[in-house]
Amino acid sequence: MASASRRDLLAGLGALGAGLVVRSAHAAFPKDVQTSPGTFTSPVPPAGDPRAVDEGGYIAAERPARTTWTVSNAHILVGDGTVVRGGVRVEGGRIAALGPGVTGGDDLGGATVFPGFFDGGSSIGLVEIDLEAGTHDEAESSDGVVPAARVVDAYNPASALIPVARRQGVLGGLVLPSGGLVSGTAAWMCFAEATVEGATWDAAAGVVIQMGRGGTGGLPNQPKSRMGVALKLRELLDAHKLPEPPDPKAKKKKGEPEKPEELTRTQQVWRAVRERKRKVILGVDRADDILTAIALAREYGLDAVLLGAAEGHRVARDIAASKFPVLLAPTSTQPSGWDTLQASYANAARLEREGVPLVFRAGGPHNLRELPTEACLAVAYGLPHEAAVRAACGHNAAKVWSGLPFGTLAVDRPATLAVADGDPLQPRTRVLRAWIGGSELSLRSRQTTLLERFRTLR
Amino acid sequence: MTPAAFVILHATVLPVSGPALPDTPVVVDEGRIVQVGGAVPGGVRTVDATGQYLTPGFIDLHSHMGVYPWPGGGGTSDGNEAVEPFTPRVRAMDSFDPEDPALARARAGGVTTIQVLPGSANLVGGQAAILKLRPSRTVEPMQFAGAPRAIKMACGENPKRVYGGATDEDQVQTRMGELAMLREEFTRAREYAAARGGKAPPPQDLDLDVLADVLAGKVRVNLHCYRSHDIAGWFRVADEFGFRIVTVHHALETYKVRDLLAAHGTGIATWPDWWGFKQEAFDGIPEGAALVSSAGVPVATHSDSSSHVQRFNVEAAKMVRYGMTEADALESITLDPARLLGVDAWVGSVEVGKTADLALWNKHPLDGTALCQKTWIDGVVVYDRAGEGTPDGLR
Repeated sequence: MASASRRDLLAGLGALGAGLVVRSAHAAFPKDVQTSPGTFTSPVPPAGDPRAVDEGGYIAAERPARTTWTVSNAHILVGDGTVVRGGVRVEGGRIAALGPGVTGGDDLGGATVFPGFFDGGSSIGLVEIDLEAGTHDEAESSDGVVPAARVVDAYNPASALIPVARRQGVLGGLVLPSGGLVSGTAAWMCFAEATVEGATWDAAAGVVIQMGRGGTGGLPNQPKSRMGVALKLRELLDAHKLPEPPDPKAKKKKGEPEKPEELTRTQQVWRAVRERKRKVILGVDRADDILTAIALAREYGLDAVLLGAAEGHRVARDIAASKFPVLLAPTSTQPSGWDTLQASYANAARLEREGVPLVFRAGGPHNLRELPTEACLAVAYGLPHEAAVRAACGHNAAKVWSGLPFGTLAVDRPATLAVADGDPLQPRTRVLRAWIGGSELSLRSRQTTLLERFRTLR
Repeated sequence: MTPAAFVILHATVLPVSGPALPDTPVVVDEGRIVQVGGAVPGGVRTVDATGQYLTPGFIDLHSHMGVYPWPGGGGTSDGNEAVEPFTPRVRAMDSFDPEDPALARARAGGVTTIQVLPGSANLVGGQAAILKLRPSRTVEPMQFAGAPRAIKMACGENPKRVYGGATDEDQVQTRMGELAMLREEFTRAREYAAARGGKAPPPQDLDLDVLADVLAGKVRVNLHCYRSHDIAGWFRVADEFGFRIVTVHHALETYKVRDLLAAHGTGIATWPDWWGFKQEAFDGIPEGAALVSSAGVPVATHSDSSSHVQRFNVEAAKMVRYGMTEADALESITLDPARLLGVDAWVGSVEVGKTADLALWNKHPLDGTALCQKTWIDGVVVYDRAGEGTPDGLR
């Protein structure tokens, strides 16, 4: 409820419109406006707290990380949809034991332990400020077809956006190039390392291809219509055929060394795509574009992932039959543009019901902390809570990209996890602590520094 | 009681003007709330809301629905009359498309009143439309009768970006240029206002008519503004000319100068967590709104988004995550925006005498899985999930 001073102020406002309150040009300002205790709390550890390792948010390199520890008295979301009570014991950065038998260590007082959140696709690390052209590295616009352009060569692990995501428990994500028809090679990145090398979980997570209107545009070699998108992609795939199997009848001259095939970087990427050694991530939203993408991927035997799929619910059975997973941003499924006129809040639930593997994404790089909110909204519209956890907390992502070291809390798995003060999907819930590979992370960011600086006006 | 009267039974009422009222009947007649609590009157229609929550309809101070209707594109882009930095003459209602599909989706999220603003390309962008989300084929029946007039102004990067590239030397290139232009324009408005009532009135000027009314306190000023030093600069000019900035919109750095806002009796309308999309938004912090609120400044959660407005309850819930009390968070989407619009005598809380703009929820609205089940405007059902399914028509 409004405080007394606030009520007075509001009463003053009510008079406006009837008559103007003329103020002096030099109105006396209150000396200080303290935040009143009881109305403002923050989960951020204050400076000096051992959890506040440093301002930049990285684990200080010179500080040996404690990778053997125990937390107990928690509600544990394992990540695969199951829930257990008890604790987690970590030894050497890996989970040594988990469940009701684990006691001692830090008593979490019934808080929730979960694997953290892992975002299924954004430009974080490639963009700092949308309207500052000098901070953009997500689109290699010299050509419309740049499959060998790698986001790991642009990713900035010191981006101020990363600790902001991490503070709400988003511990890693798929980083996507954009623009053109074939945008480049995506990477799975960890949000807690000071170097690109250290932060890279998978430098070659897939070649991003924009379909539908998204693939058209004015760059060199970029098509201008959907017809052109499909034609150009088929031409590119035709031009990078798999090598002919060696002819057993052909006589091999003795002593003549085999000529190694010389491929350019771009040819190597296409070869890997044709050999199903590299995924393709196909950006599609309109229902017929989804079907085109599925048909094209099948025609060439590609290992595909769909990105977007706002109208996926209209062709959910076709997507399920393709076995292609979907990187889905539920709230972007709005009828806001011509490619998403049939978008629906029920999209995630419909796709899940047909058996489509889902990985949630938040969308814009500044608010990856919206990932749990996206998952929660899907729950509101019928997605089972455990399915939302699998899609937001890395379990499904680590199945699609096998080998990713997160998403399930189990013995011998890396101790990558977070603690929240309630259901981690709920918008009121706060994330209190987080670890990657057993090392506790700082939850400080540029934003918490600003908060501390202006908590009291001086 | 008229035959149209009805009573909502067994809901937990969150009146916003006071604490939660479990299992409390709310009686509506002739579009107004006529009874909260007490004995249930006989012979009126009943709406069984057992296990559900009743809130006031939500109010969004910053909407571009109808002026940037969906599907977006050049053909429907009608929010910025970017022909010159001052266009107080233009009115959002003249661009407003009542068939924007986003409107029905907002109703399905319990939103009942919106302030539709022109965009922020211009220093003075034009007049706001304060609308109730009554389903309508034209804008007139949507007008909020009695709402004070309001205007959109903007400062900082947007006017600079839109006009800064122009070679015309009259256009604006810098923040100091923006404030100089503002002083010039209000100087003209002050002279015009003085002459308007005199013996030889000047020829009518549609722009200066509006600005003269701003100076006379007849029009509420909504200022799009991010940076603390921009806010301080606009207060300098407003103080000099004696007009009041009622609401600072977006307001991402207001936590740094919350004492200035408190002293000027200025409120804010902001997001819970948007930041970083431009330089002037880079110092936005999610606790900003709670800090400003703690200084006694009215805080409205706004959407500035035809999508987020559909989940206004979730936007308020995030305010709780970032330090607001639950009561203040609910107030930020109901009573505080009503006060800042000057319509709190009619809407913003569940109280006897107020208009029956109501939303019924299957769970507590700050639960992220809560869905609005029914929305009433003036006591008329404008959304019913049981009948219509999801906002996109799916079941």
